[in-house]
Amino acid sequence: MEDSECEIQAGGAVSNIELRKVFEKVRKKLYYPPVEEFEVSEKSRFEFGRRLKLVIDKGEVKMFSRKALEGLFALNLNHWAKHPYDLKTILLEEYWLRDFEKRSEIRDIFDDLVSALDLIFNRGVEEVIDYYHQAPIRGKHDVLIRAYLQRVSGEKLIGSVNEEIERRVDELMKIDFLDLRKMRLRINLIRFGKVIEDLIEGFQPQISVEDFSEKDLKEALKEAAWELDEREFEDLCKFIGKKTETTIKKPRKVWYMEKARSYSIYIQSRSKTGSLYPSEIKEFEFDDKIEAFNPVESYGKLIPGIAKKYVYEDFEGMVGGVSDAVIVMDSSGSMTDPGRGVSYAVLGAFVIARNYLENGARVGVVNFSNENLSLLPTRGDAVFDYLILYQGGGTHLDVDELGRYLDRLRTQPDLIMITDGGIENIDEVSEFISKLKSMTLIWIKKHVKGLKEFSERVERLKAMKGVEVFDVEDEKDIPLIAVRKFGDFYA
Amino acid sequence: MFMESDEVREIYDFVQMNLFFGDETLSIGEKRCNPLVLFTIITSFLDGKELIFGEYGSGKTTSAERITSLTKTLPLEFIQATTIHGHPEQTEEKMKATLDLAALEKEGKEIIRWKLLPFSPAVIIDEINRLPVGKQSMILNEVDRNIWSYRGETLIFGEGKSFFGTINYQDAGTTLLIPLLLDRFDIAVETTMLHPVRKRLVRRGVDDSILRDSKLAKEMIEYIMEMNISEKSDEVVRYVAEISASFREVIEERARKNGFRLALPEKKEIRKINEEIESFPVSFDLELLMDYLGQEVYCHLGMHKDFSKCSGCHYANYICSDLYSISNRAERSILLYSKALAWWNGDEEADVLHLISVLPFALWHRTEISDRKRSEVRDIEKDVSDEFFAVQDSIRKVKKRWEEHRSLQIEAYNLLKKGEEKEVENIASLTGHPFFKSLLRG
Repeated sequence: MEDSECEIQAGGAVSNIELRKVFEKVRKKLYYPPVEEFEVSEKSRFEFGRRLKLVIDKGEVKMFSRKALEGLFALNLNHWAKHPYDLKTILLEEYWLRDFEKRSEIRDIFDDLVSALDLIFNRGVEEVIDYYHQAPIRGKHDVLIRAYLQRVSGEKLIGSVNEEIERRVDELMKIDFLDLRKMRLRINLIRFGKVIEDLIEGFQPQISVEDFSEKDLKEALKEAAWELDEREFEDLCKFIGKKTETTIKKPRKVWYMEKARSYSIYIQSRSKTGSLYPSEIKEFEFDDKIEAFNPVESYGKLIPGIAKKYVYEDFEGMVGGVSDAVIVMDSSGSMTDPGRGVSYAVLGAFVIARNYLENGARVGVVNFSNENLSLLPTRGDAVFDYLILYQGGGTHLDVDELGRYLDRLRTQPDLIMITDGGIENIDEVSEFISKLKSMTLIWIKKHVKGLKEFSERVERLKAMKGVEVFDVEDEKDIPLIAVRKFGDFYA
Repeated sequence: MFMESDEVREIYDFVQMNLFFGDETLSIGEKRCNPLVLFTIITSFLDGKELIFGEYGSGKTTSAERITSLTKTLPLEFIQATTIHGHPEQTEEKMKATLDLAALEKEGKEIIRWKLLPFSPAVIIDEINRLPVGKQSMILNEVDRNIWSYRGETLIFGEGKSFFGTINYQDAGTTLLIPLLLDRFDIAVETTMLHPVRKRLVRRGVDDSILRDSKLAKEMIEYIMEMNISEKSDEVVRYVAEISASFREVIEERARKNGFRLALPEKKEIRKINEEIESFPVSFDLELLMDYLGQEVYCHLGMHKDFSKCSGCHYANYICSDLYSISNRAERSILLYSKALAWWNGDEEADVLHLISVLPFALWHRTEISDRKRSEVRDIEKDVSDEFFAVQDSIRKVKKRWEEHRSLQIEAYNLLKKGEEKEVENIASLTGHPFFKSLLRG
């Protein structure tokens, strides 16, 4: 920011140039948090645009000493260096405090306190104390915060307080604010909320979820999916949806999609085909065939070091790519309903689909239970809708319908079937598979491994030529899946 | 009077305003700059190696040629004539040297005729990934040492060369650059997106006449082709240096006429700049963060890393599960370019700020990135490639962890100095971080 843009008339001892220096000094001390700009204006806040900007109150700039300003900058910048650090944490904190009416206020005060404690005790930024000395008290909750800081730092920040505040300070002393592990943070927040909520009046949070863009919120929610189970994630999406304009459609699907990012599977690429063409030019060697000799590049000479030959290779454009895939997905009643628990079938299918799509291929789906619900190979989002769809009926794969579906495809896809093995029409299915050249079968055995009829049917498929079977009993089995293509589709 | 970093900043401003437009996406403290222009200037002065990534026609080769012409003060046409275009049919004879066939035929003498490339102070290979691996390796080795060999004859040059390779994002018709070769490049930049106003300027055509002198370039080429035998190589080098010195004044004069105060460095000034950068002070924190990062990237399940082992691994949240490795060569590049950035920025020492800015540029091209990390970032809006963003994001997370552990790191070093290994062991078990464990190795 240019100094001319800094429109404050720093009434105190701090000039505009010095203010910039103080800001840079604090940034350096905190190892350059992502707040690169600041502005002096009416009310302290953060502006969340393409670049994160700190706005500080011009009244405070006029009123504060240089040291107190350093403390003010540090307190604010530390929100993005230490805590809450990112929007995901802010969302989670508000979600954990969902039962409190003043959840945003509690969260904001809590984050401020963590930031202050970290600065005082971990980073030795004592200017924060100067800030608290000079900043006006902003209500009863602030009295409590200062009384607490006075107790833990030994610095006189507020003098003596009444018994009720002392009692609450005792309660706060039991909280380890700097333990930011997820479980502790959740407990600490709730305990803090209970101690402080009734003291909060007319306080406006400096950082508010509503200030973030919809895009930022969606990204943060996706990040949160990595840390929450599917139910919590769904609840969080609903909670944020009520608070903001942001709605995550089908949160379960988003959760499975984010989880699926953790795994990669091996997909064997298409073999190269096509005629050879003269590619690289190399030194002609004595044991090379004379036909390889390239007279033009050798200046017509057959002299060692001068004579050249062509090396023949596949045509440049014939780079092996990944074939399209068709996932035949069992969504019968014996499979886990993805809406009620973690379905490894859906997770595995999402991993497979994502890997194919990210490699530029298309994915088709045949979701079977009572009937076949088919989606032709596509690169669209519908793939995941068809995979997560739960029919919950019998386990009948309509092989005639599947045959017609495959006949409609112009290219030969990799065929992957995901099932727990409880296929009722196993004879028809076996006969159909025997006509195929290859198929990958993913057996979700978690709930059926002790059931003889399921394992016998899978053993029957396992014994068939060209069928490669991968057992998935646990999430950790997913990366072991490999999908191979052996050539043409039908044997 | 030797050149100051202020004057190099003026060169940057001149290029950014006149010769190659791009958005200023790199922040160093208060300043913003175009990473392609800045790192290309630095690489040119340091005689380093840079890869320039970008889509077709985004100005990769043009930027390298124009900036090199300016920094090496040679006519643009000469630099363009020495640029090698990568394709599978390139041979040593087309790029480096050939036999004088007339002399061989008539007199039976084997006389080596060197091409322009060994005598050029900068080497630019357009679409380097279309050059077969063997030839990439040959050129890189020779540029590295500036020692050129052909059929038993060798040219040894005292001065270094800067090297620029341009590269399209992976596509049909390109060969992969092997990791070993990628590791030779100090830094890799991308052609940035263009602001609509800058795009308008590009549409109208960029006037690079300030760098042009086709007559002089032709003379240079004729002279070199006449004197291109090994015995006369020193004379050729002297000649190129003389041309460079005189053309420097021509460019400066032309710039003055256009209203720019441009002071281009002489050879001895460039040497001085290099010395200043090499000996530029480095902050304690920079060293600490590098120590920390260097240990976090190792795989603890075996020296040969395999990302498929990361699932369920205790260290799965560390950078080891995102990036394959950081080579010793990469660490050297990171330190040198961090110092260069601090020097250019007029700062007192190379610090965490410079390190964090340089790390993604020094790493994204030469380290494999796990599929999990790629997938994590692919749907996020960004104005850089997925790979660059993934590295930048991983580094950001390491920095956060390091900030938490910094005081323990200092304590651990002090304890180690006092021989109190038991205490270091306690810190290692408390944090569970690979850095602290590494202190107990050996």
